[in-house]
Amino acid sequence: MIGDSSGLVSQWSMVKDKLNRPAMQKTRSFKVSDKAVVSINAEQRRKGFMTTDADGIVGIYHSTAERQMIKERVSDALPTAAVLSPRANALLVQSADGKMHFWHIDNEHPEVSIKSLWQKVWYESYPKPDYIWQSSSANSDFEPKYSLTPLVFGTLKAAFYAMLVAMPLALMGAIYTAYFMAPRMRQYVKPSIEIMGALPTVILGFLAGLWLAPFMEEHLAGLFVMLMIIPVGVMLFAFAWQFVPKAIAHNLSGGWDAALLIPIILLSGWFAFKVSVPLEAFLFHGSLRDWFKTELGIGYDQRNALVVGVAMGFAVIPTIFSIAEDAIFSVPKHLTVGSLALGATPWQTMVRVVLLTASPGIFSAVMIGFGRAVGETMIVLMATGNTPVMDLSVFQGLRTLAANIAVEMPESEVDSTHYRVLFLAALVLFMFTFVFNTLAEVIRQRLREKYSSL
Amino acid sequence: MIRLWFKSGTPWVWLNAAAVSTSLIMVVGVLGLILVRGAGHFWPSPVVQFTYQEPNGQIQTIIGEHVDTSITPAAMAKSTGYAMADDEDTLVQYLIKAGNRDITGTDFRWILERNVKQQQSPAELMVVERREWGNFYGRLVAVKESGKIIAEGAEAWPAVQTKIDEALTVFKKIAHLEKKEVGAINYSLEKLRLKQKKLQLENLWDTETEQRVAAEKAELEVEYKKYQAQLSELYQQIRRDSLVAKTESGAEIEIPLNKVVRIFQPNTMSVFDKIVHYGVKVVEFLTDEPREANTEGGIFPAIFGTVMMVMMMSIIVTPFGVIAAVYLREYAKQGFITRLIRISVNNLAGVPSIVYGVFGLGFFCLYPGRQHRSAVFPGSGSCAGLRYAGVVMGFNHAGFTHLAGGHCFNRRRLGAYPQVYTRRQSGLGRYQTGNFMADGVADGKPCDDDRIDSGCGAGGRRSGSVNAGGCR
Repeated sequence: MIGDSSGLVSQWSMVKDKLNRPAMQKTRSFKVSDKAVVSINAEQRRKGFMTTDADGIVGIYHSTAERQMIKERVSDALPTAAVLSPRANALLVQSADGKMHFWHIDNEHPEVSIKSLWQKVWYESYPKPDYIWQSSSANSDFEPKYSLTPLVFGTLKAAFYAMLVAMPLALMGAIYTAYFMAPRMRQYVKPSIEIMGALPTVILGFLAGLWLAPFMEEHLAGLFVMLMIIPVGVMLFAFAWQFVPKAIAHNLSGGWDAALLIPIILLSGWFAFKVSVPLEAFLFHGSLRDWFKTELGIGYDQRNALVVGVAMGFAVIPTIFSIAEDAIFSVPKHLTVGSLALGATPWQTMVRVVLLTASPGIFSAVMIGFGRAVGETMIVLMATGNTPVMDLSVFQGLRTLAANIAVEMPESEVDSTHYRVLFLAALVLFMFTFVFNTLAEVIRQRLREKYSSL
Repeated sequence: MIRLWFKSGTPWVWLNAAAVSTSLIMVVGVLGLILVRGAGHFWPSPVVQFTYQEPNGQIQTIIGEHVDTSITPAAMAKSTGYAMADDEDTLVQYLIKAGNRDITGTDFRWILERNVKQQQSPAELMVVERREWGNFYGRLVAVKESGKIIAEGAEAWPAVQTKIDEALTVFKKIAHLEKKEVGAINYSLEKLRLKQKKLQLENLWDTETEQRVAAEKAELEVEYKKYQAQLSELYQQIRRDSLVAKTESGAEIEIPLNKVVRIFQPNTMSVFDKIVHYGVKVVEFLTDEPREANTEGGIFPAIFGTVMMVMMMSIIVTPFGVIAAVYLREYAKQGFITRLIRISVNNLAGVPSIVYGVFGLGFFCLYPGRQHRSAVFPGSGSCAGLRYAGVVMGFNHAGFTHLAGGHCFNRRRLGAYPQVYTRRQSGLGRYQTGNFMADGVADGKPCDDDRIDSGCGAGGRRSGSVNAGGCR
């Protein structure tokens, strides 16, 4: 720390330059006063410091948070020496007029500021300002890094990938179940999908972390091939189905298509995995993962957003499915019957009449699903690797607010800054879900009023 | 024709159907995976003896259970550093549970299939389940009593069976004495200590009470001495016997029988034997306490904790949920306030459980934990207060989520109850209350119980499917 005669205090830190040589670089500066800086005292255990200027004004600052804690005139004369107590809770100043000044300092949590929580901060010996969450470390001269941004980013990333998996499956499933499926089949299908929601997420997380993650690592190519082959297989089967004699088709189908498709999907899934091995050897020199790394420069973590997407998607599907299905099913029959009578095909009726009427319900289903995905703890805790990085890649890990609280809360000291920041993280999480749930519920209540008038 | 087909919209319907099928496959798949992986765990698998050539050329014998097989494509194996011949398409590896952690240091090891020279399952291979160091795999050599060999060779196996049964009986007696009898004495001693401390705090401690407490203490001490004598005798008895076994490398080790849970030869077991073994293991898993840092033994304490929490939570919270739902649906004037309450209740159900956890920690645990400690448990340590607060927190916070779930559901269910009934009966001159009690609750009740329980069954996590549909 350097103070100059114009009242400017600057912080310099050892930073590796472009040639990887350590060099001193100015990381930040504080305008302490208009007069010359007389002394600078650093706190022993935190990244705070105290300055005194020629006017006898004492200022206490925190470097990481870039915060001025207090600025107070201690003596009228020129201070000759100043010192902070080891715990930084008292200060002693000697001034030129021969007086000693003793002050108590109440400065419990100087590390926290809007900037240190949400913006890029240039930490000591880092090459550039960055968002970093690193709340504790083994050494004692450690600078705690409490940036909530990577955690919020991780939360949204996990929720995004989960919704990417869950939304198409759940909404399409809801459309079919509510409108096209045979009533007898619906009677069994709806509860079975809703049962997914009763499965504790710990079990899903456990499976995702210990079974799904290694499985995906090994069969990554198979997974991508499966994504391509299953829709094609389904389409081919559907196309072929028209040529099945009407007598058989009528007996088998009529709302039981989903049951017919189960073996088709299983078969094409199996086929995809079989085909993926030679395909991988042929196109990607044997390993898609290595190919990603060498050709595209995308690293692969075993616990990544893709695993979380699938596992958490699985957990969110029943929520979205159930509410959306209810919304579609409760669209008044006279609307659909009218549309069909006017000559629209069932699909046209679905898209132009039913979906439109049920859209607020579907929207609220998605909102609630998103709220679930944001607050989910156990799955992300076990399947994400808990690395607080900001990387959009599907193959990289992440850390969410919820998992962060679960991991660090038992370790944090009661009433410390860390502990309070974790509470703040919980508050942020609460705000997220509160907004989404309230929005969803308000929309649904509107919808209900609308229906009752139809 | 294809264009016409697409225009009719049929393919989209099929695609939607495929989404349902996929979801169903996922549900059944996950349940099946859990069932298969979980249920197969206790089935005794054969113990195999491999003659294996180590990468350095040395020939070695490995005894263990074949747990898993991994097949890696040649290219991938090459990139991880395995030397592959040109005609090899895949690299096959076996995961072997070789046990004997105290001797080799590892429980499991991977071996390459191509280096396995011979593989057989001799009948005399045995598995010893131990209280320490995990399983032992090897051959039985002899049985010892007080350091002297009493049976060898073919006689050793029947001899060890009877000895094990004896040791287990003694072990049970020891456990009973230590936990129940000595535990009871310790409990009484602790109660005396707390009583003394309480009296001292209240300044009622005088010589008379001091003598009385001392007399009681002495009585307990005498009783304790008696049990201690019994225990030391039993310990001598259980430490007397041991078995001598040969490991895969031919070394002989001695295993004291007080460290043995069971001993069996899976290669000679019939299907019926295996079923019995499986049943015993499952019962042990459900009713026993964990051993070896939760890697073996049972999970009874966890089951107890779960059931306990759910029960306490249900007792405290069900009335709130049911009564609030009944009121909100049947009696409250529907308007802005009820809408606000509905939104709040939905939020209560939708807030992540971790937020409740943090709230519980900060509020129930740390704040009243400090206050209650002195009020509820005068003189006792800090632990009890925290534990008490922890229990309160446990069911309170789980209760919150449950409350919301049960509430939503009840409101839905009551909503489904035809208004016609209530109106008609009100018209016939019955009070609203009586009328509701007679019909509403009677009709709604059985199903309510059922659904509420299933909500708790979801782990108190979030009312599960109960509120998946949300409030109506």
